[in-house]
Amino acid sequence: MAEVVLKELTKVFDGNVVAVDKFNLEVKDKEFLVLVGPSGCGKSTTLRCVAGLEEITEGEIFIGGKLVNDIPPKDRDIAMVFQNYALYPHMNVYKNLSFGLELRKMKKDEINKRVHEAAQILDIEHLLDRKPKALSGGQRQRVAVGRAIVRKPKVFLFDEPLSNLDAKLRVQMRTELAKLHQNLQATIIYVTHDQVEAMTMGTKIVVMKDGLIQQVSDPLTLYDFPVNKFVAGFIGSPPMNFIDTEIVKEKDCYAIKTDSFTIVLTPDKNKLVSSYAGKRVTFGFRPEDLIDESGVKDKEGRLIRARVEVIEPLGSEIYLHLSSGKDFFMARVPHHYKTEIGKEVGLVVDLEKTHVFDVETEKAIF
Amino acid sequence: MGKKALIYVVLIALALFYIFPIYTLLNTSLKTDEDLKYGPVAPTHQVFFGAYTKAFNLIKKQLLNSAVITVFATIISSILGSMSGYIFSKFRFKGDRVVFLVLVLGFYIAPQSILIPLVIFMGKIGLFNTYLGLILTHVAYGMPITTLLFRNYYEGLPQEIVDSSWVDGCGTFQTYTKIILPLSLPGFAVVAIFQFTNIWNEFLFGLTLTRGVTSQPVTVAVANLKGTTVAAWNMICAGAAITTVPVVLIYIFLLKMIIKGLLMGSVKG
Repeated sequence: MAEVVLKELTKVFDGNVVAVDKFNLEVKDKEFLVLVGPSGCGKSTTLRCVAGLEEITEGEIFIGGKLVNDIPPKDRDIAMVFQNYALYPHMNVYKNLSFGLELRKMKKDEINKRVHEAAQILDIEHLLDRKPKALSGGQRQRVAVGRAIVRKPKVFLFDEPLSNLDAKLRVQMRTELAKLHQNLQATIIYVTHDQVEAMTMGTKIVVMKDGLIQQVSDPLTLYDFPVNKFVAGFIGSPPMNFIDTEIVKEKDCYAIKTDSFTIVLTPDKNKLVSSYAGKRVTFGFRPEDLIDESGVKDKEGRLIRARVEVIEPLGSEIYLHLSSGKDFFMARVPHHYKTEIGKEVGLVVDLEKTHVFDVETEKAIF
Repeated sequence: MGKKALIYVVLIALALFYIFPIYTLLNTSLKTDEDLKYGPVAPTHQVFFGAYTKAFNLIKKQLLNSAVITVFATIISSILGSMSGYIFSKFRFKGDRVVFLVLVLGFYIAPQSILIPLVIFMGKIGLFNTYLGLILTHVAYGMPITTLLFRNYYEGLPQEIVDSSWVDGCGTFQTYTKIILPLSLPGFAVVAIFQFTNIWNEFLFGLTLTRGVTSQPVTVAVANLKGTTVAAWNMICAGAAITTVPVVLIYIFLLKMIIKGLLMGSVKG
């Protein structure tokens, strides 16, 4: 196993499309790193650069301490799992798994051993004689993973491997891949556009946008302390609420003031926001950080009165779409919460979990 | 009901129109010399195979020539077209589009315009009136269309399969032989039918690049069945009918190979 280091990696496509821009990243040995971002953010291109399937425009890539810029994919000691599985249709499952080993002139006994080992781990032993067209989507995905496992490579690369599976199977495969990572103790770089996949599987997450890294950190830090509005809105489902508003000074503290409610920030934030007094900012809070006012004693300075516009019961919880003055936002309340459309409700914000972003730079002030 | 009947009438009329030349060809080929005077349309009074034996004896050497030239030229141009189609479809290199365009433009060069230099050139390199000369000419003339057909076929092959083979350990050529080639059977069938028909039916190169029967193709031989003084139409038609048989057979045989869904299961189905 090995670490992967990307230094100033840049990829420019024909017609000057910058897909990846001066990308610096260190993937430690045995780490499960997830690259996440919206379509076209350059995450797949980055992965393909690591694989050697794209020629890089500038920068350096090291795998296991070795500079691999000019080394072809087959000699990089990596294995890759593709979104559409990319199994060889004319070969049966056994041959699909053994193909890479045969090309490396491995002994027949060893090939046989490895194929059966991998097939056992992935529970596809009974499918070894079948052709890919006789497999279901989930089985094909297992074979694709198996093809990577048998090689015992230094680094595994996954390019949105679960996005072609149905929702139930995706959840199942997610757990299996996480388990696999623990068993194999391998370095994994995993690309996805699904933030749930990123949060549940990654030990480290890289959020990307327009070819640039937005934030690199562990899942919880990403969730609790997003560095900018993009990360805050991208991570979390339903996404964080944003309200464009103004910061005003109120006695010893600063407050977020809209036409219909005022949220007084705690004094420890004074220093951070003092320079923004009287200016426009974006106020952010997550739907789950709103709680019903009943039973809350000190709701002074953190209460929002809002009208219920839409109710979405999910069984385990309820999403409320709310309006307050000109602003719209969502709340996530327990499943036993009783309300109806058009009714006015009072919700209290958890002040510890609020965020304020600069309107222009979109960077987090806190 | 009336509308349906009308459609059938039109369809039958079109079918008859299409079949008519084939009817006159077969009808005439089965006539005796005596019967010829009633013209090609009037049904033959007596089925007579004599014209076939006569024609076959006159063109059998050229039939063999055509078979050798067509089979080799078809195989070579299909393989070369498949290789270049693979490169143009799955590789990006500087100027790839221009090179491809220039190659495909070759398809539009009228054979007549290059006849004189071609004949002189073949003479100079000693390939005039040889199988190899005609094979090379057909291969060169076939490259644009075989490359284009294969490139389009490979565009339908997911890039990921190729990527995957590279990660698995294949080089450029191994990917071609181990992955691309086995998946190309339907593509080869299409290209082979196209090339076989074209080369078998080709007349101009056959006429100009050969002399005598040594390497003369059958199309030229059939044309020569028409004597200088009398035209034995039953024999000419019999020769033409014989010449059509291999193309029809190849078509039937290769059509079976164009199996749909050969790729099913490789990617999301």
